[in-house]
Amino acid sequence: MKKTRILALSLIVMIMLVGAGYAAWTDTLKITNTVKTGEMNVEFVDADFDGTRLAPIVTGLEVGGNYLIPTIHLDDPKNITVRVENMYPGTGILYDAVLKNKGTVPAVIDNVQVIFNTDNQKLRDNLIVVGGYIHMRPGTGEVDGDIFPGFWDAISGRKIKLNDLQKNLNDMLKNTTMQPGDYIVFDIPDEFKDEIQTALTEEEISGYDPQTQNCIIMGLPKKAGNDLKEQEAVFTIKVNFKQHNK
Amino acid sequence: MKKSRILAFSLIVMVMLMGAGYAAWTDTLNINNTVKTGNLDVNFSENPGVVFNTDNAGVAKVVVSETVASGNEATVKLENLYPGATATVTIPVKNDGSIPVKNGTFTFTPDKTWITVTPSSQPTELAVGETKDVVYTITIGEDALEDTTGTVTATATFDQFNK
Repeated sequence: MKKTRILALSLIVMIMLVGAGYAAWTDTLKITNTVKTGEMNVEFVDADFDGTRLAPIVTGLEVGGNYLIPTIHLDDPKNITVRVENMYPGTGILYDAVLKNKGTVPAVIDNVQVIFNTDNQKLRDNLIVVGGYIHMRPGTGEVDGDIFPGFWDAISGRKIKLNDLQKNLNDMLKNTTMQPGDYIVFDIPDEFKDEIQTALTEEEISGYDPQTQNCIIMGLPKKAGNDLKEQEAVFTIKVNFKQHNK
Repeated sequence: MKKSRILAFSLIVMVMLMGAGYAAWTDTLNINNTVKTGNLDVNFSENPGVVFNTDNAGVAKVVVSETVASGNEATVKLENLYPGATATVTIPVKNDGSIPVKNGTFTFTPDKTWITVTPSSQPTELAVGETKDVVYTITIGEDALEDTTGTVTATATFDQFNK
């Protein structure tokens, strides 16, 4: 009997101790974090923010003739194709394009590349290319603008050939920041139009009317020699964007 | 003689019965016990604060209406983040109970490989009435996809101090 009592008491103590092991108090906190990424997306669009500038457009610069065959096409939001056939000395084309930051994060122009699919050194050395841009923001209007070649290029000898195009575009556009909703129009700010006309007049490329016309202008100087007959160049102007914090 | 014996016997029985009524004295002592248990109660005490990377320039944002904390639950909602963006979140945690607590370490679990979380402060032990911050940094990887949502959940279980 004594042993039985000792055993029963031991069992009771054990059960009490086991119960104490499970009885500890706890409290649990929970944090739920939701993270959504933005979007970088710059596209060619068919008009600027107030609809006054339609794009893309192309016009021939030709006086006393109608032989140029310029075309432009918005292939998709990332690609525009410009083509001109039958350019001859003293003529050119001008074309306009409008870019819009349709994303949710700022887009910074990292660099501009001019990539030749069909290269042609004669055209690189002789084709005149001038132009400009206007940076616009809804609610603000014009944020910035410039032309190429720049002022110092003019003093040093006005480098305005196709061969200079990549450097000129980078000098003009590199590190330009487009906030969401911003536009860039390849246009020539009013204050620089006379300068552009002077450059074209010096090369005897006729037909540009600074009062009504803008854009990127390509032309063949009137003094272009016979070696520029039946020449072809195919090139892509790539505008590369990066994040604002890179 | 017989009558006297009966009488004596009767008296004896009477006395015996009367004695049975008065012979048991008693007294009672009472120990009145009141046992009141304490309370283990840990809560978020303020809404989360968020600080983005220094070059954020207002791009990434906090959805203020959905970045709140109360009781045992906190939510943080961030939008328009991008590769390289960081968000450092600070949430105060308070011991509202009556006993100290310990082992309060948050474990973070992102559901996307382009999200990493680095804790820098944990409210591991809290005295009664004490407040400490849980602080952690969410980093968006270079391989993050655009226009995508990821989630990071975290829990911490506080134990009583003597367990």
